This record gives sequence, structure tokens and C-alpha cells, in this order.
Amino acid sequence: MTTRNKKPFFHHALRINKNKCIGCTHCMRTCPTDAIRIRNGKASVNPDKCVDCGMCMISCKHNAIIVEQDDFQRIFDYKCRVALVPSVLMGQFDENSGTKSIFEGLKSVGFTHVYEVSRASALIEEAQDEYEQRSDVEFPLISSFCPAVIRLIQVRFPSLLKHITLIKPPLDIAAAHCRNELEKTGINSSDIGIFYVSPCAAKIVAIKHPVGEKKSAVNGVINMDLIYNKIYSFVSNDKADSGKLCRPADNTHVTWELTGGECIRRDNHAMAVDGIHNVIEILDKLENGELDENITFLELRACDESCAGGILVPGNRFLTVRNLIQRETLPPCRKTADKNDAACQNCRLFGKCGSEYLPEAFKLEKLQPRSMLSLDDDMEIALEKMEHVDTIMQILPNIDCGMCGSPSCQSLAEDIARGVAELDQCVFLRITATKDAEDVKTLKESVRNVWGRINNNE
Amino acid sequence: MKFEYHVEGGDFLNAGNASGNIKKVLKKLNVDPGVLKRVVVALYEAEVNIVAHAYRGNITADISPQKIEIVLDDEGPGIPDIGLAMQQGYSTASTKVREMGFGAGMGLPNIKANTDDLKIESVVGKGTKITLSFNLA
Repeated sequence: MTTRNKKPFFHHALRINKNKCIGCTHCMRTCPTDAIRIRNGKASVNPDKCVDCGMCMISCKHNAIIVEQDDFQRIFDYKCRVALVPSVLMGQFDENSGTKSIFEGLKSVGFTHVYEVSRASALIEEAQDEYEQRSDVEFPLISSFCPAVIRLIQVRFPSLLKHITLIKPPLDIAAAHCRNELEKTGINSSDIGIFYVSPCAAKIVAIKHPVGEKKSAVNGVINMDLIYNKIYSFVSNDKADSGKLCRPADNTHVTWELTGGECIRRDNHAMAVDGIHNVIEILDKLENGELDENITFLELRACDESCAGGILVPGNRFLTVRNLIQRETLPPCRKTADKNDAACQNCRLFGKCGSEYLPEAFKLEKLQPRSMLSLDDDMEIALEKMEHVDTIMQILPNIDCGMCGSPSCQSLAEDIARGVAELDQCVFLRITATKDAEDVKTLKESVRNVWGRINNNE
Repeated sequence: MKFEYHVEGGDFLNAGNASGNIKKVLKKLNVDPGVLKRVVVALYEAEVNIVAHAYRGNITADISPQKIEIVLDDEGPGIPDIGLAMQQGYSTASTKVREMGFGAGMGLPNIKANTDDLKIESVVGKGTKITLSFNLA
């Protein structure tokens, strides 16, 4: 591949634990961008193709895929420590656990403040409405909410980049609002540490290496499964607060992160799609010009049930959705802030995320294509390689067994044409061609090169 | 490099297979996303035209670094008045075809708008051959 020697374009939060990986091919088969190969008995990820969707982690039966996060102790580098939480964290607890308990739980592990990301949702809605009025936009608009979808489009559908709304996701607006509000109370900006509790790998990458932004307003990321473990006993033992699930006083949509969250306030010209393979199907149709022209807005989320199905979300995604929908039906809080209530304190401290943050929302820069599908940058060479692929495909068995360490015969043929694989990796071909003992020996060798072993005793 | 596809008239389930395949090919060849979009939109329209109007047809794409030329050759009723067919909104599609979301009379004008060169040859009662060209260099 021509990009081989360049610095990887994407930073990734997903890592393979080589000690646990047995090279079982599950991740390789499920990867939506064809980014994984098995080499020397382990999965290896092409950093240029990976979009951090996390499908590999879901499919891994050996817990060999890990998600990077900041050391939790880093929060103590700051005097003022904010847990910036998506609503799906609240959705991990049913109506028997109060919002206050969750907030108190977060404080018990060291945070001084809690801010719910969805409080920026109303402002994003306003930004989207304003964005639609621009003359230079291309319909249907694609929401910029899901970072895995943005990267998927960069890698697989570069011609559709201009459909993505250049609006920062709620997480960034929430962080900016939160920081400003705290500064207003006299706290030094350098003393404020904002830590996002992430439901997925893609959001971690979006914070660490933002696309279309110079720097994220967030200081660090803590994975949601870790936070859940830390606060679980506190929340479940805090019986005093039972039944006090509440919803902030401003126009916060706590279901914004769920499938349909952005569509619900729109007319029937909006469409919501979740699950990365479903998203690919729709993007394919859009690229072919097959989508109904009346569809003007696409809410595309990489995970099944959107963020409720995020790879770091501990609870069942359907129960999470149910819990959040239940919370959304509550009337917005009208009571005067209770001084002793952690949730109330936060509502009072962080006022409404108002229109003054609109300019901030529009700061997302033009997104760059990064097509990773091409056989070569030079079309003439790409054509030659494609003819080579065609020739190879005529002899490969087309059964996609994965034994060669590539996800399909087509991928192996392309790997060979790119010069990163050999035809003798095809075990099927080798078996059918093998006649004498010498051949068996070399066959064993090539199997060993891919799998690191021939059988489990090795 | 040449690519060939067969299209059956009336097979709406598979309408778009050829353009979908060509799209994959063009992505692998690192064709500019803007050109790719035009090729795919024009080809999809033309492919659906065969499905909606003709009995059967063949699609041949010839791709070189300078040019993409796609010939759609069908056996079908042919187009009696090409000038009229090129007008926006003009359609001979049956009610059945229209109910499926096709046949709004935007096909040929849309194809023309997306190609660098469009050639239409048609013999009534025999078939239609259209050639779509896109410049790359």
C-alpha cells in the first residue's frame, strides 16, 4: 500500500492485547472497514482503515481488545474536577436509583462537579436549524454527532463528506459551557479538569485527536465501565434517595443520545439509522442517488441502539433505552434548588446553555477525505493491480474461510496485489495442490507464518 | 480495463447492482470522489431505465486513467422521440413503475447533467444504446 510509510492518519483508542489474542478471526470478519488481518497468530489492525467503531471488541471472545483511557488519578491534578457524563450513564440505573445518588456517587469517588452532556442538546438543535438555512449545504444533512460515523465516511464514503453538518457535537459544547460557568464563579481555568465519561472508543479518539477541531475542551477521558464499577455500590446502597429520578429544569433531552434522539423533534423528512453495517447500507444508497429526495436529515449512529449500545456501556442497551425514555417523560424540574441535593446544586450552578454558545457550535472545520479503499494513489498502477486481483480471484476458492489471515478471498487477492500477502497463504489452494511430502512441509510452514502454530500443542 | 454486467427488464430487486459494483471498482482505482458521484448517479439512472423500460440489456464499462466510458445496450421498445425524452418531467413509465418510485421523467436529463458526454442511439422496436463518458485527465 502506498500509504505504508506515512505517519498513521488516525489515532486509535482500541488496542489488541497480544497476550490474550489467539487470532480466532472473529474481529477480522466483523470489521466494517476491512482493517484487520491475522499475522503471526495475532490480530493486527491497519491504523489507516480503523474507525474505532468497536465492532471488534464486541466480537472478541477472549477479552483481547482493550480501550485506552486516562489514569483515573489524573483527575486529582485539578482542584475543580468535573465529570462530564452522557445521559446513558444515568440510564444504567432504573427508577429505584435517584439522579442525586448517581451525582453523589460520582462525588464520592473524587469529582467536585457533575455536568450532563445532553444539557447542550437544545443548543445543538438551534444550531442545526440555523445550519439548514445556509445556502452552501448539501441535503440530506448527516449529523456530526457520532465520531465513528464521521470517520467511516472519511474512509469509505469520501464523496459524502460535504453532507456532514459542520456543527460540533454536544460533548464539546457542553465542555465549553461547563468551563465558562465555572470560571464565572472565580475558578481559574487551569484549576478546572473536565473528564468525559465515555460510552465508546470513538468518542475517546474524538477527544484525543479531534477531526475538524484544533483542540478539545475536555482534559481527559474515563471509560464508563470503570466509573460504573466505582459508583455502583454507592448508588445501589443509597436507599434514602429512592424514586427521585429527575430531569434538569432547562429544555434537556435526556434521550438525545438514543436512536431517533435527533429526529424526534423533526418532521418525517428525517431518518435515524443505527448499527454500523446498517449505516453503511444507507450511505451506499445515498452515494448511488437511491435515497428519496424528500429525506433531508440523516441521524446515523454506529452502535446498535446508539450510545446505549456503546462498547463501554455496562448495562443492557434496551434496558438503558427504557430507563432514559422513562426519565424523559418526567416534567422538567420546577422546584427551588435544594442546598443539600447534589443534583440540584449542579442544576443551579450550570445555568442554561444559551445561544451565546452558538458561534462555538459552528467551529467545526471542513472535514478531509481519507479514502483507504484504493489499490494505489496512481490510477494507472491501480488499474494494473486490479487486473492482477482479477487473475488471482479466478483461482481462489471464494469461500472466505479466513485461513489465509485475510477476511475474504477478495481481500487476500487485493493484499497480494498490494504486495503485503502471498498466494501460498491460501490453505485451500495448497491442500488441493499438495501431492508429496515436500509440499506438506512447506504448507505447514505457510500455515505457521499466518497462525503462529499448526495445532494447539505447538 | 473492462467490466460487464447483465440487466434483466422488470427486475427491480437487482436494479442498481451494476452501478454499485462499478462504484466499488472506482473507489479502488482512487477516482476523484466528485467524478465518482457523477458516474454512479448517471449509471444508476441508466441502469434503472433498462429495468423499467427494456426487456434486457448489457452494461459495459471501459475504464482507463484518462476516461470512463460506459455503454448500456438494451433490447427493448426503443425511444421514438429522443428530443422529447430528454425533456425534464417527460415520462412514458407505466403506473406500476411510477408506484415503485421510478419514472418521474428525470432520468435522461439527470444522466446528461452528470456526464461529460452522452450519446443516445435508438431504434424503435429493437432497442436503445446509450454511451456515457466521463473525462478523468
